[in-house]
Amino acid sequence: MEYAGHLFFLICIYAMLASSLDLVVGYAGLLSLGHAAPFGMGAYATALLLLRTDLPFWTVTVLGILVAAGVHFLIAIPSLKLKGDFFTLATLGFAETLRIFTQNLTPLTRGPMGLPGIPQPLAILPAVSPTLQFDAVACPVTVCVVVGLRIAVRSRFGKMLQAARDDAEWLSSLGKNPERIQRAAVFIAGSVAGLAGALYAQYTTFIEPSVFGLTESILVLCMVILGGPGTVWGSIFGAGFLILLPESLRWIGLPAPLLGALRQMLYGILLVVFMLFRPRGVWGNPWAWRSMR
Amino acid sequence: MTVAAPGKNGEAVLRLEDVSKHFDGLRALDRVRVSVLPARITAIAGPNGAGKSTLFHAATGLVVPDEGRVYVGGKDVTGSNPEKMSKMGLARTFQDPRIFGGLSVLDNLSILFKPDRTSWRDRRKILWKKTKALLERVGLLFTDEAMAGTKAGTLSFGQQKLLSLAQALAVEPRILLLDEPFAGIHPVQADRLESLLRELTEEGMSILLIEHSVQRILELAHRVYVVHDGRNLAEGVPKDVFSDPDVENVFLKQRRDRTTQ
Repeated sequence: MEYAGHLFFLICIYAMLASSLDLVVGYAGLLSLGHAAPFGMGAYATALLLLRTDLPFWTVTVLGILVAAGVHFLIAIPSLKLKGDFFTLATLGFAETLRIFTQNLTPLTRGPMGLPGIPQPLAILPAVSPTLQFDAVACPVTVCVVVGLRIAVRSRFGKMLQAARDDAEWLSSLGKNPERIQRAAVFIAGSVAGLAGALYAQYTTFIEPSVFGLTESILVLCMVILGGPGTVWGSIFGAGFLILLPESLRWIGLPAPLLGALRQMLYGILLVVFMLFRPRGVWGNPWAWRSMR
Repeated sequence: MTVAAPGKNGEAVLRLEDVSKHFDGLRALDRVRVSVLPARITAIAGPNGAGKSTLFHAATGLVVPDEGRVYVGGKDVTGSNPEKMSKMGLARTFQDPRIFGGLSVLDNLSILFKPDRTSWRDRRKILWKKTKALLERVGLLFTDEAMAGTKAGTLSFGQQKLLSLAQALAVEPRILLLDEPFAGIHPVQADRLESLLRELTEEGMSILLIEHSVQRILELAHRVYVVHDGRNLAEGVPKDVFSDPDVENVFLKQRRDRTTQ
């Protein structure tokens, strides 16, 4: 039960990360390799505030979200001046910079040793396992986030975002500022990732600079591509699938070191297979895919 | 921001003065002058590669001229970006259809209308009414909302081109720049388009048109500029300009080149 609850929590967290990345990748048409940046910022800001201040839980979470969204927004301003692959490289560069920064800012972050003993103000019932209590919070939060994103992409804002993806030059010729719309999308995606990071830090009670890592960003991107960019729903499927599939490998009885390598290989193989045979992902929006090429 | 006022006493609403543009040593425009008269159709003619499209890019802020000035309603707007030019009352179309392929036909237009404060249900109704009227105006027939729900990217070339024009009209410009609007359009729809352009000028819109067909310029335009090798070759009333031997030479040479190829 505890184990299933743990997996469920991870699926919720990654569903939030993947669906918010889909807003950037699928709808805004900006291939980002730095989604771990707002996630890590949310996690670190929450952890530090919980460890070093007496602020109440909700205040901490909101501050965590704002820090993440703010940093993501600031990253977007120069990155959006670049187009295509250069934008992707910039996002990767910024995420790595944040990781290295966290790793070396030892007085504040304890560097590679990470931050242990993060309080869990969410777990208020002593009789119930914290995992289940976190599940009870994460599940409705994820549903709200996904429904909210779905509403956003169907709104005038969401359509404008897709227009900027399809032809930014044409949109600006018609008097709209595509970059401003894209920056707004990045801010929203950043706040959702920050929320996921805030919940994650409290759940695991320990975080280290690898939350900013490239593997984290690639995993989330794999979820989006697998589910189908430009769908929101697809990302949830992608998150569920990529969390559960490697877990199922546990049962075949391979030694642990081999298992880790096998997982990474599996992500790679899946990505190649999908790119070759089903580039739109399981659900797939052909327009979102076209703009990513 | 001020919207381009219709020029008083025949004053040009859009004026390009000695505009030059070079691309890596290639001279695309060399001190070109064009004036767009209020509520009139001004045409630009010239062989392929003469610099007509670059001229449009310079007029709408897509490229910044190396030299020369661009005036809208008497105001110097040289170097402004396309977004600002649009706010000054300029709209344009491109030679190739430019649309938002992943959005429905309805959404391609509805995102461009100014949002008004009505209830959700009314807004939807009003949006559809406005969209339908605009689509009909450019000659695209979408009888109901469901039909207009088709993705714009699945339309044919000609339909996309007309949708592109409808989008340019949706932002309610005062000056409309059309880059070969008749190319790739069905003859029946082309005739319809001709009368639409006349209607628009009657409503006070000023139009700058890039067109290859001499016949169509003679029928439609009040004034024509012939551009050749990035320079002004001739300008004036179409009838006079096309009887100019220099102009005839350019157009005939083009035809000769084509037959010898």
